[in-house]
Amino acid sequence: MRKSNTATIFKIMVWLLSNLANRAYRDELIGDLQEEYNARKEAKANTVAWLLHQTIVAICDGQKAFIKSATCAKLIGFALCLIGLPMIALFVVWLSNMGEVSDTLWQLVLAGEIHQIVANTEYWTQAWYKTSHYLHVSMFFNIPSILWAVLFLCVAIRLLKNANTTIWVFSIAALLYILLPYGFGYMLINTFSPAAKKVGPILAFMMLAPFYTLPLYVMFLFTRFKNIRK
Amino acid sequence: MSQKTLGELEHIVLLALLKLKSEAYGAAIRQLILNEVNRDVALGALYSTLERMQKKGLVTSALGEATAQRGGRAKRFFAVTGEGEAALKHAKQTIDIMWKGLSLYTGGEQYA
Repeated sequence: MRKSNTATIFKIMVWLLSNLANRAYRDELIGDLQEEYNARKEAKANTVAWLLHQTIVAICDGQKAFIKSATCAKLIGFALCLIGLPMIALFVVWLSNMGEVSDTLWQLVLAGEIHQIVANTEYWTQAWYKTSHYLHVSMFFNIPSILWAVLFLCVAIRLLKNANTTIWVFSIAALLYILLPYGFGYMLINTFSPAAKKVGPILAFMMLAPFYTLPLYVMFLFTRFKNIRK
Repeated sequence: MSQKTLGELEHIVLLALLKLKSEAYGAAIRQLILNEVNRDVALGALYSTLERMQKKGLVTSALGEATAQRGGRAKRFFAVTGEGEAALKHAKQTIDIMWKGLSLYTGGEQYA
């Protein structure tokens, strides 16, 4: 009974390692583990604790390598697009058709605190309704944001011409660039406290500039780093 | 070209590779380190060190044949490169220089 339990644990560990250990030497590591496991079984040494220790260390190492890998950067970029773009679109439609809102929400709009607006339940109820009734392509047309995206194209191409630019260096630079309009707009609103009419275009730039540049960034990730997984 | 420096585990692993010669693969390296210096290095940590040293050009590796004893998985054999040997030599020289003129009494034994 005990023998079969250990064999089952070993199979589970091998399955875990086959999926989570470092891809670069996964097979060799499992082979070594099997060899030592057989030797320990014959010597009647403590196998389960040893197996657990080996598996945990190998998985931690594998995940550390994965976090640094190009695949991880691509996944993060893709996830950002998947979550960020619909959220921005929803916000833009809501902002373009904003009617009666509570004082709290209005104050948040005037302060440019979009990160707090998206945490507000009233916003979500309204945004959902507005999107299903008043969605129009022209709401997404914003010249400063288009210019910001064109500038991103130029900067990215120049940065990627340098052979030393790794996927992570590119990603950090690109994400900082993408977040810059938000930071800039937020700072502008909080420094100069512009009139309500002038806050709208600033908010549009804060959101639409990332809306245009985020897909460009992901496009570069998948085209320029096409064959890089490590 | 600047001389590559070695971490403690890298140093130990390189010496293990030299001792094992053509038989230097994961399980054997781990076992040798355990027997010689009583250090239980996990296979994951060992492979991570070997991969890092390979990137630094200190070791090379080649796949062997798959065996049934290893569930049909091949061994990866490692060997020290010229750069690895130079790094070892440099590390030893550095330690020897620092030890020169020193003697240390610990546990009734003298180290010099």
